[in-house]
Amino acid sequence: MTTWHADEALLADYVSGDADPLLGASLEQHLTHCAECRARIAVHVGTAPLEAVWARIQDHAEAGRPAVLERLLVRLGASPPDALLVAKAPSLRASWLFGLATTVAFAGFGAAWGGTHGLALFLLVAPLVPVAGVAFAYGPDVDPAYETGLAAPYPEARLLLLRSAAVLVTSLPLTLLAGQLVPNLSWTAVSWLLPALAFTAVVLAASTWARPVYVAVVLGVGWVVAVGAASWARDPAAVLAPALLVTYVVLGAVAVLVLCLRIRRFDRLGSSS
Amino acid sequence: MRAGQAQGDPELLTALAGGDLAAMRTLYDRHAPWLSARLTRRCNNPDAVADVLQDTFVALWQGAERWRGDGEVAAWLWGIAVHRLVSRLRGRREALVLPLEDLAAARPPEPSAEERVLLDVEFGDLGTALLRLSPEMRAVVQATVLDGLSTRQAARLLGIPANTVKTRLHRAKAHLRQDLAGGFA
Repeated sequence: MTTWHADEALLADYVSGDADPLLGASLEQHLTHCAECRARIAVHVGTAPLEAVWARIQDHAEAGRPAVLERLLVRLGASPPDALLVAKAPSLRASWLFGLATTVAFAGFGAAWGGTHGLALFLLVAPLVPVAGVAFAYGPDVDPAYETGLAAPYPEARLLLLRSAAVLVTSLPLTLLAGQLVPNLSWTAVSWLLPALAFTAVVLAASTWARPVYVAVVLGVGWVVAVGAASWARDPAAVLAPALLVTYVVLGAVAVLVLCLRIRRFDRLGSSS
Repeated sequence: MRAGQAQGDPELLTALAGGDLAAMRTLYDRHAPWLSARLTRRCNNPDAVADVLQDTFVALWQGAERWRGDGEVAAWLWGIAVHRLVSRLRGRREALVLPLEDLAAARPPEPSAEERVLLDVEFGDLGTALLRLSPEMRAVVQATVLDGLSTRQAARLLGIPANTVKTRLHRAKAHLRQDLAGGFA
């Protein structure tokens, strides 16, 4: 161990910024290795600012470590409050995502080896995946932080849209991947995206009047009936006939338009304003 | 006296990784004062220094397990802090053009040589040579050699283009070499 130690005058000068540049630089090197001088310099540093910083650190520490998803979002450029709120969406939980992956995998394998019925299963599941995700992203029925959110000075429309975007980003690639298993129907593997996006837009637009979950259930039942009827007629892919695809596009466009017009006016989702 | 005062920094880090807030408080008491003083010498904005200090310990709280268990905890903390400072300053001109650093002490051969190095730098040829550098060149030498920043990070810290950092460092080395050679001759 070294026997040299900084004297009080040098420490005081260093902290006040008056130390000679060379001595200051040398002291910094010494401090890195000398616990004794580090302890002695503390006397010269004002405690009030340090205590204020400690209070903030303590807040952070006691708030717990952010979840993996939250940290990922922050890394991608989201602000910490946005990331916290988005990551709390029920349909972004690991259990939801695991269930989603399993369901989509089954649907994909069904489409690959299950013949017509398998294809029907895939067509049944794929467009409803993002719809369910968005419906379970926000609202009094599903969000444990819903009331807290209402009381917070944070625009709900923003929260809804951010969470929906996050849901689409997590669920669509998974489903697209499973769609690659659909044999001989490369177009079907992608074209389900149109009803999926249209329905998602409808849920979002309708959520300015009704609870998202109810809307999603109505849409889901309608879709199940349509796919069921189509596969009864031995061609489940009929729900993706060109004429219907155009309908989905129109439906989606109208929904987006309605959403744009309504979103600034609602103060509480799921209730008429 | 706080609990764990007698524990070494590495032991405290282990406790901290296990979620022990008291251990972090002890570490904070030990390291925050000198860290804040050292940061203040590089950035004259007290708010920025407070933010960086907070970021450093929050990062510590979240990633204490990343400590590899060798070397000085103080040096590791400074590494975190100076990098946080660089990203905090991103393009803003809050950094001071600051004093210089001693090249010889940048990589001390062993702790026992510190005293000699300190005295040598202060009164020796190298110290004189360093003092003769322009403040801009000294700032570059300090950021790159002593704080261990990359050229790009140093550029951000000092608010100058990366190429300027390279040029200044190059010139500073040339000056030092010349001065020292002259001194010995």
